[in-house]
Amino acid sequence: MDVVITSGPLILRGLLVTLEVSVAVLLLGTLIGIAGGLLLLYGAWPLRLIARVYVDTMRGIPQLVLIFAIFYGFPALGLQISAIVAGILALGVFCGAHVSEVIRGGVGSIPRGQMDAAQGIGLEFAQRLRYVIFPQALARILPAWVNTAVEVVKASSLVSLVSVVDLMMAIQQIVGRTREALLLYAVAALLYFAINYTISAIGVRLEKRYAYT
Amino acid sequence: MTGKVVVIQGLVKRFGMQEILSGVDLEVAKGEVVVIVGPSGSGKTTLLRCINFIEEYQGGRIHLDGELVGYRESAGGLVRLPDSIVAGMRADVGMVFQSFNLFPHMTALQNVMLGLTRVRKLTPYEAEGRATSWLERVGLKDKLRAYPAQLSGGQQQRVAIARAVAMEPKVMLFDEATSALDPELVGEVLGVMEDLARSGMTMLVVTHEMRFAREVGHRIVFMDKGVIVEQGAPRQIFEQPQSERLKAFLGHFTKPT
Repeated sequence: MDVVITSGPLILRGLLVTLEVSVAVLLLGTLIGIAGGLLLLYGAWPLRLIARVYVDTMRGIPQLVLIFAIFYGFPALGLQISAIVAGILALGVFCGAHVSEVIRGGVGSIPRGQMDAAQGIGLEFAQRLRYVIFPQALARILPAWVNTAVEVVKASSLVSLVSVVDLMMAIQQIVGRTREALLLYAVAALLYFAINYTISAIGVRLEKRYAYT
Repeated sequence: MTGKVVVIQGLVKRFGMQEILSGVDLEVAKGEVVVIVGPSGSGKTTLLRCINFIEEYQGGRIHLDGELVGYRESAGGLVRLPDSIVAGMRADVGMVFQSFNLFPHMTALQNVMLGLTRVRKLTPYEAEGRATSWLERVGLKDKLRAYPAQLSGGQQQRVAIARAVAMEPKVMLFDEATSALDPELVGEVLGVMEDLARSGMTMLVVTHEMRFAREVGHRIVFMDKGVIVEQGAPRQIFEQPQSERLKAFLGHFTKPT
């Protein structure tokens, strides 16, 4: 147990990096996903096709392949990129594909008549989404989005493989020094679980709040 | 085109290979109440949806108050206008739908206020005043804070009418506004529509309520298979139908007494 206490600062720093990466990936992924989802639904056909190819391709590639492709591939193209940025980019692009589908599903499930009525009173496209469609779609998007967030936190541990010192890497370093594998991995598991449990709990509360019917 | 709020010439609408409207000509004068009747699938609803450009059209022209709807002329062809300009035109056309389409996450008052604040750019105070007075006029004074799910179908449709008419449109379109209602709720909605008609609102009404057509309509238009087959004053249409198709159609209804 002493190990955990003495390595506390190192674990904590790793935990913060994991949170940082996760939040950045979710932000990036959600932005991409909103754009992707709207293109899938409302884009002119060439854009819709591009979005469709992007979503289907990304969902079929292991995240680790994406991370390595960017981390080792970009420098070969003359683009210097740090390990953490490569990781965020790769996971963000992956997350974006998932969120695209989530947004498409949620927004697409709102009855056509809502868009008709929003058009009927003269709202512009962005206003129709903002005031009429999104508030209703939110309740349907949130559960799936929370799932994605949980997946992102778990997938963030992959950035340790390109030498980012996140929670996973910090734990591994300490294990390397102290040989307390079982205890330390248990601590890691507990911390990942705690993060994801919190996300899920917040998700449930938000869902209740945005369910209007 | 003076005095004509809506002028439709040679309107053609296709969904893929299927032609829904095959050359419709129709003019609606200011203050006129035109009732469109016809069997289902005759293109009545599509005609209304083209007028406020919820549906694009492929041939002909629709002018609203002298302005071409949805497109601009360009070297003999039509070029679609950007959404922001189309939206501005739609604001001048009030539409009431068969399925009400109230925004379920907003109260009755908020439903009516949305267009007033976001499109008409009224202050929230002005918008609330105007929305309240319209909701009172349609008999919903005590339902301002109610959500659609808490209202009956007839009440919901009256909110929808208030939402459309509060925008002070140049014309109101009613797309089978009472078809989804329980029989005992039809009257309250027709009453509001009649009240609007009497106040001089220009209206295009698609309905199966023949008594309303006869008593409130200034002119009846009979559509079938994407064209206007016959039109005229209510008495003429109901008592001296000329075409066989209209005679057959009217035969489905028991004579209004």
